[in-house]
Amino acid sequence: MPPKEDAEFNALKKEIEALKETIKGTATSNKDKTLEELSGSLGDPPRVKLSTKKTLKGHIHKVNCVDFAGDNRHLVSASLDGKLIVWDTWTGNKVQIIPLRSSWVMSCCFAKSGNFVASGGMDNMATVHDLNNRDSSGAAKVIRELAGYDGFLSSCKFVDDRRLLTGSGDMKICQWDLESGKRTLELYGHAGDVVTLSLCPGDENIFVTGSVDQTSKLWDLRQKSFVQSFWGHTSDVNSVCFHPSSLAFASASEDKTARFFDLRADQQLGQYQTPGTATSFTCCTLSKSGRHIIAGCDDSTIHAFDMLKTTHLGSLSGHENRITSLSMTDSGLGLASSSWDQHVRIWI
Amino acid sequence: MTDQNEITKDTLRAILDGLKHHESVEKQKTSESIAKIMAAIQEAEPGDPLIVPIDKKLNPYNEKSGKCIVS
Repeated sequence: MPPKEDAEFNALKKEIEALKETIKGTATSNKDKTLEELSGSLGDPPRVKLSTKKTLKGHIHKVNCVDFAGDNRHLVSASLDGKLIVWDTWTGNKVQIIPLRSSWVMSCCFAKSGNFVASGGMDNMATVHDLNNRDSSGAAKVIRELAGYDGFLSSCKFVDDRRLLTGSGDMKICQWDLESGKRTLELYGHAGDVVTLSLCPGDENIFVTGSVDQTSKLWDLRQKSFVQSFWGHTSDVNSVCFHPSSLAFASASEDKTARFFDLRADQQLGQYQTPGTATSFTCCTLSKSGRHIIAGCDDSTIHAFDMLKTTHLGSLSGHENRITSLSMTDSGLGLASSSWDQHVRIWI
Repeated sequence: MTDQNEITKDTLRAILDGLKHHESVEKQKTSESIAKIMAAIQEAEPGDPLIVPIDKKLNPYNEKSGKCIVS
């Protein structure tokens, strides 16, 4: 590379570091109270004693992802056996089995309406199936195959029946219009694979992402660059989950911590670790009120924490291998988990 | 950072653009923002089954008693 280009590269890096320090400095000066200080007077919530109500068996390989529909009942799971299964979690019945064109699926999601599921992985594509229309083989019809990624599809979420957001290994976030099949937005700003995304409950334009670049970022679909960047984790951010208040989000990381970030104070407020030996977290979700952070680990356990007092509230044991994904119903009544042990569990 | 992702000047420019927006965002003191989050949680707690458990009979995950009423 000619020296002139090196100089520009280095100048950009220097400016980035300087700006980061300024932003972090403001956050430090705004830290007049901690979460523990302000929540100290609150009563403790009850211990979390969820147990497995149903073990959903059907996949014959690792299950990588689960996601509830908006009806608090139907759940989609994605497995390396090359299938999506749509479950009625109230009865444990399989409603649909959808064979995928590629078995290397890493992510799946359910549209809130229950009409569509999307999935993707190492095929570098997002595929959308219509659950109300069958193809000639009787399986849910593929209505869109969305290509144009330079890396694996790691995460996907329906904004609504018409729009899909995806995060991918090529460091970008894409928005797709499913009626036209066109990509309507391509967002850049992460310096590594984007591996997780979560939509803001209170504003359909806002969402948060997590990346192997160790940061989480807040985005607004009306803006090309990210809104805020959140530092703290010292390894890959594996999962993010927006808080029901829309004012914060939780994250789970390879660095053996889960953390809680405040959007308006622009900083980390809380940090959570498994009791005893610290374990890497692979996924996280929040309870309906947002009082609890629930996080899954690579050692097959799931842990619940009081988000405000940062105390451990309980462990959920039963899976026999790495937890890959968690999904909580909007009602807060049912928690689903997926695992490399080939099962999905429903905890109540 | 992943080995297969080359950090290019375009990536750096995108990060810099983001950080410039980030710097301009209005921020709050933690005392104020935490109070808002806590208020939102406390308002939502009565409706959270993990805090206020619901009647087992009303939980759709619990099997029905099996009784049929024939009218």
